[in-house]
Amino acid sequence: MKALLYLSRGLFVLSAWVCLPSILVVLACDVTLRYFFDSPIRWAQELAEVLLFLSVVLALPESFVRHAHVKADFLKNVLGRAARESVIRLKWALALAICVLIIRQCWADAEYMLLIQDSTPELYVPMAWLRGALALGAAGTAAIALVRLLSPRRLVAADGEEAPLDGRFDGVEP
Amino acid sequence: MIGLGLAGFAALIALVALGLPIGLVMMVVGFVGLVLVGNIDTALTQLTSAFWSEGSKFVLIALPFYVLMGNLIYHTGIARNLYRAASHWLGWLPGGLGIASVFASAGFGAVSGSSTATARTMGAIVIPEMRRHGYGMRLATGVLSSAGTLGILIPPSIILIFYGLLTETSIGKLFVAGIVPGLIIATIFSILIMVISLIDPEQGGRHLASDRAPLRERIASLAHVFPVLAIFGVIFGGLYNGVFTPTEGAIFGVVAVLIYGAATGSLSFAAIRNSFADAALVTVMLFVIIVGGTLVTRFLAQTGFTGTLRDLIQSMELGYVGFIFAVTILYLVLGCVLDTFGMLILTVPILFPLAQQLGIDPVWFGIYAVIVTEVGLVTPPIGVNVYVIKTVAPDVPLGQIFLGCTPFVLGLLAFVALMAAEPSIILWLVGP
Repeated sequence: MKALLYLSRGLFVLSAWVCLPSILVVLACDVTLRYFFDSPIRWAQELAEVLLFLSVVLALPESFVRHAHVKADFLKNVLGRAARESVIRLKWALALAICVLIIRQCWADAEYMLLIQDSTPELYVPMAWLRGALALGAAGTAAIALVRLLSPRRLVAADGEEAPLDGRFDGVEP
Repeated sequence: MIGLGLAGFAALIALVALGLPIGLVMMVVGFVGLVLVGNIDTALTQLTSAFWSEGSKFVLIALPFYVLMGNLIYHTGIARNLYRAASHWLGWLPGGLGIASVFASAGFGAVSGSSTATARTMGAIVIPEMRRHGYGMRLATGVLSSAGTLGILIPPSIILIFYGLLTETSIGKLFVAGIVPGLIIATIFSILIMVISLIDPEQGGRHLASDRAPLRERIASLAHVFPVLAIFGVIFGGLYNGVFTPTEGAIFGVVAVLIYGAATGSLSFAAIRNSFADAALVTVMLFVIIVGGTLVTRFLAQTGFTGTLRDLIQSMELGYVGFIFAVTILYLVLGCVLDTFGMLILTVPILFPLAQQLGIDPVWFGIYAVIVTEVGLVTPPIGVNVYVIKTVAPDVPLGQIFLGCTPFVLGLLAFVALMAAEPSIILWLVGP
């Protein structure tokens, strides 16, 4: 599990500390050049879009590790411990299933995109690479979901919330 | 086919109610539905293409950067200056510190965009102060929970960006339209605080004429909030005059706050690092909901469920007033079980076309939907803001906090009635 958490953390570092700041720099330069020098960067918008996509898909595993996804928990206190355990395992099962499907389709998409040499219009970033990034994010999530699903330990904590993942990093920073 | 849509919708509600992540549930139900309606190959193609098409929208870039701006502002300590300035100017009124907290929350909302962040930040600063001045904790916690809702109405607002993405409504116009209702609601809240303080002096705290700060001190306090006013002024002015796009406004805001933080030494490297991390997590959370919502909407549309439901509502011939009344009730009920984003993603694809058929302006409907969903933030059992305030006032029972919110919920609903009767309140700043 620890290795998976390192992978998740590594992808998150790329997402939060590389992609997002890069978008900030690119767009700040573009806005400055456009308004003060009437000379916008032609590919700035496309680069920002690609970086945003990468930022989102690379942060997927860590978002599951940190339970960042919103949920309605008004039944939390109504459900018994065993039922809560089942709900948590169902969550990981669904995450595993959807991520496996994403990986499978990314593979098919990438093969097709390589064949037709599909790329972004300005920077010519191969679309197959972007599908690869999505597959990587999905693979990280799927691996964590699988380990969590197969864990023999109880996943529900005393307060009814999901117990932290083993070896999880302390603090909020990536 | 409609039966399949109905079953899918029921499964969606059941899985969400169980406590599974809303975005993940939408993705699963949407995908399975698309498989059943069509075949697995088209469903798979739609699954990955939705990631790219939704995740690479330029306007989506505004989201992480408004979140980032709010987080950075939180770390600069500007919130305390806002509260100090507001209390210097308004503290002498009956329930003055409560009124000051409402306007400080409105000011913080002007750079934060998040209701929870506003409630958390202002609550931590104001509640100990109100306690020290003898305010009743029912009023104090009720005010802070409710005033937090101003954070998602006064621009920049993350939820308005979300609505704009869902309906392809101009986010710039939504931002501009949010300012007037935000200020009116702040005024309504202030009047309510004064009335409560006069009726029940125990809630209103100790009120001394000597609390009124000297004029020089009051003017000096404004200097400390000037950076917030300047950043908000430039973003709002830029959007209003069409100089900025919402994304450019967000970039400007982040850069301005970083420069302010560097100049005053109020932003540590750790604070910046945490702010980026939080922005990335909020973005991915919203993104999963958007992708899931896209798949569910396509599935429900293909089964004919959405169209049938629309026809059914149309056949009731509710008219404008009946429609607004019914939708308000619907949101109040949904607010008991869903969060703001979940509510909007499930209802807007169905209600928005109906609203358009009734001639309701998309910008007006967006502001209306956000205000009504705000109510869910302070009503049981979810009431996210109430739980946030509970963490800064752990000795106050939840029931007391919810009770303290009641007058403000009624105030919000009164404003909804007012804006329904006079839609120009929302639209006059936006123009045609």
